[in-house]
Amino acid sequence: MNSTLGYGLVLLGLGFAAFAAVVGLVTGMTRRENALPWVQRAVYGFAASMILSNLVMVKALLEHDFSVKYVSQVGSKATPTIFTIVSLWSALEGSILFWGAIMGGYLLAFTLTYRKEHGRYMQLSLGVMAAVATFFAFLIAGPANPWGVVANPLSDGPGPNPLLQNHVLMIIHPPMLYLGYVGMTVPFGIAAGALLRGELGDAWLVPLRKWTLVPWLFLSIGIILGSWWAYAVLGWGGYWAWDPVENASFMPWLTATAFVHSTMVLERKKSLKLWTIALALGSFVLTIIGTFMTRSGVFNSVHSFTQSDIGPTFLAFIAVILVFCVLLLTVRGHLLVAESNLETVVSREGSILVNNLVFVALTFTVLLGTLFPLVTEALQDKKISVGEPYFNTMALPLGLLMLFLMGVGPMLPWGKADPKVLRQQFFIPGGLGILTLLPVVVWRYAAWEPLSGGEKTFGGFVSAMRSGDVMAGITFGLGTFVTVVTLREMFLPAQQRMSEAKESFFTAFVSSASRARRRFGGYVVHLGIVAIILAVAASSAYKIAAERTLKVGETLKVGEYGVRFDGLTNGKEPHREWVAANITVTGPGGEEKRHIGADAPRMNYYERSNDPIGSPMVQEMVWRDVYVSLRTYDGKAQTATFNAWVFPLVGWIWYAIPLLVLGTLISLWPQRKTVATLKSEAPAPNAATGTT
Amino acid sequence: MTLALLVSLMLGQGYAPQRQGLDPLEAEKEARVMRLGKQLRCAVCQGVSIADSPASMARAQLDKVRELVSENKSDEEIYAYFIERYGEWVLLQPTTGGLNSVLWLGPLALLGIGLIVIVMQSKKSAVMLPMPQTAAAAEGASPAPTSDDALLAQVRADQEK
Repeated sequence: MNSTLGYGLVLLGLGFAAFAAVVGLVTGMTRRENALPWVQRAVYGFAASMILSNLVMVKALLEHDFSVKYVSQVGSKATPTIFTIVSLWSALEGSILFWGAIMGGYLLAFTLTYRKEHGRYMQLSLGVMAAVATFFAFLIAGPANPWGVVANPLSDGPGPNPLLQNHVLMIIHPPMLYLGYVGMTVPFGIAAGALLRGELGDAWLVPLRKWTLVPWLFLSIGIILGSWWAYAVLGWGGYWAWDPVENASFMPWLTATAFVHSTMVLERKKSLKLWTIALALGSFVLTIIGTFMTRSGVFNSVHSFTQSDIGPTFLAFIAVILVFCVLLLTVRGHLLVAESNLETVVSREGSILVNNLVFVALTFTVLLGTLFPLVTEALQDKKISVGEPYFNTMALPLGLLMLFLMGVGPMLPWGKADPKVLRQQFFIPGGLGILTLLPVVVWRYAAWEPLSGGEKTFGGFVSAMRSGDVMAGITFGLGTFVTVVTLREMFLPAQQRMSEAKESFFTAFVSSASRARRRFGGYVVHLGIVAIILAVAASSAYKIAAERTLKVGETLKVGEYGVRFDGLTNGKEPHREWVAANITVTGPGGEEKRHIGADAPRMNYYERSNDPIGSPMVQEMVWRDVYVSLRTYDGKAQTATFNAWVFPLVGWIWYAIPLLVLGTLISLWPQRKTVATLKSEAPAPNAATGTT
Repeated sequence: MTLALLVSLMLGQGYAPQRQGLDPLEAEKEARVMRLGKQLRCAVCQGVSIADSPASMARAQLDKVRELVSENKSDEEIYAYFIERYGEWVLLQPTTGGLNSVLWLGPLALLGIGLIVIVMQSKKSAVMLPMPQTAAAAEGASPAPTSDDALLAQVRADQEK
């Protein structure tokens, strides 16, 4: 029953999507605009069928209807209800089905937003998006069909992948990532539609930018939550391993970020057109390549729990899209000629151009590094690894360059800059950046212990510095520089209003910010990114690690903290059993915090997997985390081996999420149309197009 | 339930599927062990180094590094030992020779070419700049100075007073 209904809805969705694609593209190219309502209706039909099919799947999962193939793969009566719902995206077929629902949601939102006012590209844009939707609906109906019927259903199933049941973050991380991935279809559709139509006014740029920011935000959140999940669950004390799947989500993020910046140059200078559109198309292509990497199992990775043979279908789709994009840019390239030239690199547009180059170089590095093992295996029949050391070596200088540009860019005016003014502006943030190094050096020197008991001299300290220390120092200096510049750009207009219009600080701040929402929101996001970069630098350069086997009552010292082993306990939950090593963490001031049972580092035993899955204990604090993971234990001897770390500032990677959300929402918030026109002061700046 | 039996068995025996790790060496040597360990790939993990991995096989491999470091073997000798056993795959950072140079030089080349193009572009327009006509055209294309940037410039000028 569920199978028939669910599969019927998928077929219906496929039909609607194909209809919308064909009608949208054909009538769009022949410019018969009266067909648009039919395309819109078909899009609504697609969205409704896909969302309903997902609801039927959730119902089947909750009913433990093991006659449905997908439920028989991931369902289990022992799984808690919340994880039963979540198992909708815990394996390949379900996640593609879920993908269809998100695609439906996006198409519905986009069509409804512009149902009254829209450019003439709308029909073609909807057609292109519906074509992508057709592909995914085809995948669900054919190669990745979750609705197969099990002839003799068993009374219980294996439950979802244990790794995915281990943490609540798994409930929100995948949907965020999917919202980011799928959402890139919309800017792709807008750009491709406008190019196909061949009318490139300004009308399509605002929707293009807004509908890129939405998936950009979800992608950012998804990536950060994914790293948080890895940190809180996998127990090796890291959050980012340059795993192919992490790279797959990072690449479209990089190109979309580059797009969000270059679109400013496009709108203001009418240049970088081809480049900006290529970034919009490229971000979409990279999400599809990313999906392929995640879902096809080409790479051996943590995420390849969703392996299947959809690879060839995907490869064909990628090829079609690539050819389509290249043709589109070749045939319509003449419409994308720049109307102005770059005057000097030392300008806002120059800094954005360099920023774009760095982002693309990093994207290329990540793509090259991820695909290179496949290339050598194909060409030389040799297996090689491209891992963390390579990516860190390459990404670190590029990242520092980005950080530097984040400070320099906002400081530079559009067009030519006056060198004298520039020097004056640079003085305070630059000086503060360099001053930051002083406390860092003093603090590092105080914390430094000479090896093999030598005398503590400053010369010895300098020669013992690792490159990581130096890089972290530079990062802190640049971070201060960027923060000062950003805050100055945020508050300076308010200060001026206060002194000129005698407004209170709050009024001045709010009105100056709401006049330039895009730029103001962008700066808030910049602050969040600085927080993330500093947290990454501090937690990797200044982490302290220790490991030892402890008897009950013994203590392991890690930095200023002590980890005392209090004995083993075991426990039982419906879907797993566990053995925990109870510990007491002693802080620098002697304060004690006990971690018992479910709150202690554990080994979890799931029926589905032979090896236990560890879960670390993370004592989160504002400025540092204490992280203890249980490596081995011996019940007879009552001993346990621990890995313990102290990670300074690491939590700021995830604490920065609200800043990213806030900044993006400020940027996206619609500008009131008649703002300030009645006031007698200067003519109202058009913040939607006139400012950064 | 078999699972309960399994767990009670585990609790009795513990979980240490293979050998226990050696104790860390003295600080200087251990730092070297960790640096080398960072470069070697754990065979059973997902692209994680043996220095980072909690897996028992990685601990055993790290112990091997400790052994070789205590014997005062050079970095090259230690890498060679692992490459001989597991192939080049074991190196997380690929070598620089042969085809691999694409990996190292490709991004640099892209960055270099990009920079040259950008500089050429700005040179080109710098030459065109003195022509009054283009300057006027550019003036006409840009919107009236009502933007916040003009505002900011004004604020800055005021600040200097």
